[in-house]
Amino acid sequence: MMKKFLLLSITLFLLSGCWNYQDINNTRLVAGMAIDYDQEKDEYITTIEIVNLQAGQRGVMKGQIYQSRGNLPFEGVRDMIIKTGKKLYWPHAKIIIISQDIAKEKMIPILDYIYRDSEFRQEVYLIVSKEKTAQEIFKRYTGEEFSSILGYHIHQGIKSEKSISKYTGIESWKFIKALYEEGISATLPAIKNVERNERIYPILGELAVFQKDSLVGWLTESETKAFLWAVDEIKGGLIIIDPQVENEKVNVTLEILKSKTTVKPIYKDGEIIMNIEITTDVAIGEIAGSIDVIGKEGRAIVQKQAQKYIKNQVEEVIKKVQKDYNSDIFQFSKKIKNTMPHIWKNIYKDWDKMFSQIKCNIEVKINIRGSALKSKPILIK
Amino acid sequence: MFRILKNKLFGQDHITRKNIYKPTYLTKSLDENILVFQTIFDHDETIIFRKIESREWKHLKCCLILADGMVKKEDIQDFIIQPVVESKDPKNQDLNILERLSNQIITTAEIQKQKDIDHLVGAILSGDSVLLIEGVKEALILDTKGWAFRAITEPISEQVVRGPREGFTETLIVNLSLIRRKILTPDLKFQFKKIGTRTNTKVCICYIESVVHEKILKELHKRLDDIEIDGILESGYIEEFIEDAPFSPFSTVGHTERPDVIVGNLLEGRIAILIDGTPFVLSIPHLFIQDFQANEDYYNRAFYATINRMLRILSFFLTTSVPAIYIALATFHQEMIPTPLILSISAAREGVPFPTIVEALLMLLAFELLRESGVRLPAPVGTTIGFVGAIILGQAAVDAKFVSAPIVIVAALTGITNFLIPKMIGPVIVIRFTFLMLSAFLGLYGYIFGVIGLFIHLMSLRSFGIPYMSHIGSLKIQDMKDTSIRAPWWYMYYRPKLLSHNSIRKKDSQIPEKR
Repeated sequence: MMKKFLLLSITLFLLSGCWNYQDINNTRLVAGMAIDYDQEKDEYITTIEIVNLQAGQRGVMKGQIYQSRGNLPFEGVRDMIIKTGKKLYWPHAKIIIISQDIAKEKMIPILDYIYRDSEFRQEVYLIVSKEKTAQEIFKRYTGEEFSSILGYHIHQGIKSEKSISKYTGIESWKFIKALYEEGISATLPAIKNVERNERIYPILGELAVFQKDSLVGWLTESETKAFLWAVDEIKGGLIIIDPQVENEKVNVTLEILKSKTTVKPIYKDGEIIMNIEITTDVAIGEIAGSIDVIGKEGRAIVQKQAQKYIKNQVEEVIKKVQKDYNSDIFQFSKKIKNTMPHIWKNIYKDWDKMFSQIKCNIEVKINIRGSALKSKPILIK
Repeated sequence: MFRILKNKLFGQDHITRKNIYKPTYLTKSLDENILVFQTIFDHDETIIFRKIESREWKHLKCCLILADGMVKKEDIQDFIIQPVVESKDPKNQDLNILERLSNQIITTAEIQKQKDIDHLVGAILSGDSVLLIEGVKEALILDTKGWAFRAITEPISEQVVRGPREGFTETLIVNLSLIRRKILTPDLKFQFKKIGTRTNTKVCICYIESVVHEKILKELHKRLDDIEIDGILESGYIEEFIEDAPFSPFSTVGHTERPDVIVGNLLEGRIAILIDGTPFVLSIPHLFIQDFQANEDYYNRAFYATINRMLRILSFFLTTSVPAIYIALATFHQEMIPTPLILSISAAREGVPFPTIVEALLMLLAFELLRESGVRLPAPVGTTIGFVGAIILGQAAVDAKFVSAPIVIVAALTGITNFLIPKMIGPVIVIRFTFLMLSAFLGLYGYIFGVIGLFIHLMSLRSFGIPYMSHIGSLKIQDMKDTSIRAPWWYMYYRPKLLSHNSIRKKDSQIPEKR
């Protein structure tokens, strides 16, 4: 009995796999990373932002930027220890910004590193920099008083996308999953620096369109919203229209409450038509005039205009992607594969050519559910 | 080696007993009998030998033997000495002296004839008086017990807001009366035993005959009879002799200072063991869940009681696991902590000299020191200790960067939750430090190992044949009525399973109607 117990406890302590006792303050938490590619030297430049903790009860935190180079991203990251002095701790890194060069040609080495390394979270967000390099986002940032750690600031921005709907964050695992699937491609949000009030800080917006692992083009913010409508990812945001009611134009803002998009492929006469049905619940959020758009007639006009507006937007963005980028970011191929696998079997070899020819039939239904707290516009008498 | 040393120092038989001649029975001669007792009680000056003769009845010569301090002297004067001295010479000789004395002259409530000297000595020591009579081979044992005892007060260790405020005292007979007063049925049985070769401590086994499980009762008798010790000072002595798992941190024998708790236990089919000289009464069989039950649960409304129960169970989990989980997360699995929290933890840890595990051990040790120092101090000093602990160990240590703030929070949480289950403090300390060391070596993996080990141990325990974790794993409603929840009284039809051979407590469907 005693022998057994001894043996058990020895195996428990010696043969277990968790030998990584490590105090938190002996590591440096990484908040975000930016990766660039130096063509001349054929090297990757990694820029990281670590959380620099100042001792003291308040716990003052500041972002600190370090940079190093390597033939592959991993080498660069390891060499960083020489500069930081402490081992880097990656699970709390939230964003990875990649430069356009990399997005165009060298995505795989980076994705493999993120995917393979045990310390990265698979939920880390990938972002494409619209600036010349990715490191600029970190290096030129001067808004410390506003938000001291940029990586976390950007992460928060991605998290609150649903009330803006001008970009959409993609976690690394989703991007990699899209690579594995036939037909479809992924998008990544873009980031760029803006200068306001003598401060430079990055803002998210627009969408980078990928054809498998290489960047092929961009969608503007309004196109992004239309794209989100097509892929049923709209969770909030605004629709701004200017309907003509009683011979007068008035700007009306509609707030999106709920939206549901169903995409149904139909096979007819050797042709595939995508039936896209969009049902969106909105509320009138703003009326820039004293014209009644809440009453029955006004509401009908607003509804009609909004439907037309969304339909046009979605149609345009699909056409643009079909024509310019030829990248199935709408996941049409997946829909076809799921609903009509026998047809997909015949066409999947020619999908690249077929995609740009696919016709879409878009129907939009807007339901105006209310008008916030007031039931009448402000009337001047 | 020790034995050799001991023999050299003390010699083989260093205690030499006085080999006194002691007859077994009394003789007819009063002087001889007195001499026997005088030799037995040699050098004991509290024993009083009072010779009494009647004024008129010339043949009556007696000697009263009593232990000073153990008797009520007024009773002896009024009911024994005075009637004997004033007794008249009997005209008819039908009754012998003994009968006449016990039936017509002496007026104490309890009277007994006895000729066995050992028995008489025992009676004197326990506060009775012995009346030796010239020409009679027997003596009378007169009930004159009366000594100072503590008044019945509310027990400090188990105070209640709602419920009876009486507690057991150190006197066995008073304690028995406290139980008897609550259960007015001849079914309630008291059985006496004497344990301890020197102290001859009176131990009383108390149970309700129609409810108790005979096998448990028999087993208890056997275990009590097997005890061989020179003295019993407190129920803890007995507890350690009769418990099932001597090496477990958990006790399989319950103890309480409250009569209402004991009566509740008796009604469930449990057996109480009362020991003379201590207010703590044992009850068996004792199950794990009983340490989470407070008597007040049964007096308060069921919902409130249930919430309190769950709080206690939660606090058992917290007090054993919080330091271990903190260590595991902060030193092994930092990726499991939400980012804002890990930022504040690592900011607090910045500049602290010790590793997290050393910090945790230091703070928990400091807490245990404070606890133990506060327990035995008079109340005013105890408060000072509290202040010192809070200010020096909490505030100053953090300010001086000796320890980080999160570990102070962890230690405080551990300490407070500890006191929700006062009867578990002993086992909890052992478990807490075991878990802590396991998770310091192996992270959450080690902690889970500890939890599994704890459960295996708990599940393997038994108290007098009843599984220690009985009712806890069960999903049947009837079994759960008095575990993590406390069902309303009208809904508890049965006594706890296995404890009693008569499991039906009351008839069902007694829900009060809506009026």
